[in-house]
Amino acid sequence: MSQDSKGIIEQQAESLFAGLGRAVYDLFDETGRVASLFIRACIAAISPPFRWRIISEQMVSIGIESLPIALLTATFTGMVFVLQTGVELEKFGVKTYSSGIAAIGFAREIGPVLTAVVLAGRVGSGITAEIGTMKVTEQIDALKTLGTDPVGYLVAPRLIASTLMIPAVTVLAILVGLIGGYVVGVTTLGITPGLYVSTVKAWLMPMDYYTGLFKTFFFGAIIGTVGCHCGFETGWGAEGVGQSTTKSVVMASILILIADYFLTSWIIYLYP
Amino acid sequence: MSEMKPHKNRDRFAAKGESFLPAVEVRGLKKRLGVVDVLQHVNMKIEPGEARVILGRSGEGKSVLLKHLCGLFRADAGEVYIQGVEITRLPERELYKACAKVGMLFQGAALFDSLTVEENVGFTLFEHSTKKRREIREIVAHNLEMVRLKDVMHKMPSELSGGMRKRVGLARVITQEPDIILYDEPTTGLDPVTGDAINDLIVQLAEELNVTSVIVTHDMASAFKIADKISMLLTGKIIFTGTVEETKDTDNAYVHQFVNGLAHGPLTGDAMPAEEAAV
Repeated sequence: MSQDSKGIIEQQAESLFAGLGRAVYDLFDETGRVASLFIRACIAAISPPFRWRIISEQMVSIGIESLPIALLTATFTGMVFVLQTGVELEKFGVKTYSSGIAAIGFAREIGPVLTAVVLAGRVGSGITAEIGTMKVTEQIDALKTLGTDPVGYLVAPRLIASTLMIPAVTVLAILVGLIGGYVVGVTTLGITPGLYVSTVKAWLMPMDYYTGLFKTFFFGAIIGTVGCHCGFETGWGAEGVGQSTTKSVVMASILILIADYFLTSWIIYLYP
Repeated sequence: MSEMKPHKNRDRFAAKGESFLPAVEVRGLKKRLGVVDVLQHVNMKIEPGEARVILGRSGEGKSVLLKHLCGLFRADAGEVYIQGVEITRLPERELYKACAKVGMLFQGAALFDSLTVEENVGFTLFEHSTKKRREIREIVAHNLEMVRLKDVMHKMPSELSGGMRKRVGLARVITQEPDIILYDEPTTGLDPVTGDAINDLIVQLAEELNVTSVIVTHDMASAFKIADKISMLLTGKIIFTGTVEETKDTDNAYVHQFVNGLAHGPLTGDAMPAEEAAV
């Protein structure tokens, strides 16, 4: 091997390791900043002044206004879930079980995770766009010069609202998903209403519902914190707002899926 | 340079027995943004009640300097004293307290989009006082009157013109009852008539409220109307400070070129370097 090609390989290896190192450093750096923002927001949330008006406005925006998309998604996912499992199970003559399987799957996993990911798109991007626009128009600087901590004023109310409202929306989404499944089970698969309901009752335990809901509090906190973090990190202009909005949705969705795995493992360990 | 020449508000401060501790003092301020040394060694002293205009070409760091005076930027080196309190190394909460008496009118007014004019102007009172809404409304109405605005209390910022937004921003600053007001290009983007009305307001507020004003601008008509003293920022340093007359008659080639708006001269690389002019 010539001296030149050896040099090129060394350079490429160096840049590869440098790139990897930078990526790992950036990952830890960003995680640290998100965690720091979360802790500061938690402290602000339990310290006066309590901004009830902003919290209630955010609860309406994050919860009530998200209902149409969350419920629509849950309805059709519930319907398709029962249809898919029912068609497969019919081959073994146990299509009735599709109702129970769908109910458990929906209460434990699909309802909470699907709702959270859909709301990461709607709510998380909305929070990021709003705070990002405030940043590029110097409104966040204005808050500081008026003696108001932006974390207390902007992040804490959004964190409280998303942590409380995303579980509330999920409760309804699971319910609507089960109803959607019932409609398909009864009308398309030909399962009798009584049999469908009794199978769901026999299979679905209250714990399935509670464990699913328990996770949504974490998902809500993730959506609120990541949305605000990406808003604060927005670069200049409309392009900056667009980029941070996309980043917010991607980051929140990934964190929701990772958190879901670890929370589920923990729940299974505690309640086998 | 004439840092300690008297200004028109000085007698009023003396009559009130107020201290002559500088309202703002900057010592050896340095700031690097990315790979650029925006501020290299800024020294500046502004007396209480003075109206100081800071001139400089776009990108020279005027707004960056202004943001150091209200704690929005932290210095890499050097000190910033606000009414004798060194703010560059204060923790965040204490910084908010120390800068509570520093108001800032932002270039685009930076009104809160989701709040009405009343909520914007009364923001500090809604947030930091126990005053009732009725009392706050009276103060807001009075402050809007000071900036010559009527019937806008319930409007949203999006319904206002550029000049009106600046006035509402100014009314919001007045509500803060500041001792020092920072203006970031207050007349930029406004027509000459509206711009002049804003200049009048700045002069009026300085007189009525006895505030120290620090104004960043490119607008020479505005600078000559408002200023007690004018400083010029170039290559991260203050290269000139003088009264309006001294600025107009200066031999400093950089200031002369800037003040007269000449396309050719040392600022555009046609003559001597900055260090020589500073001397």
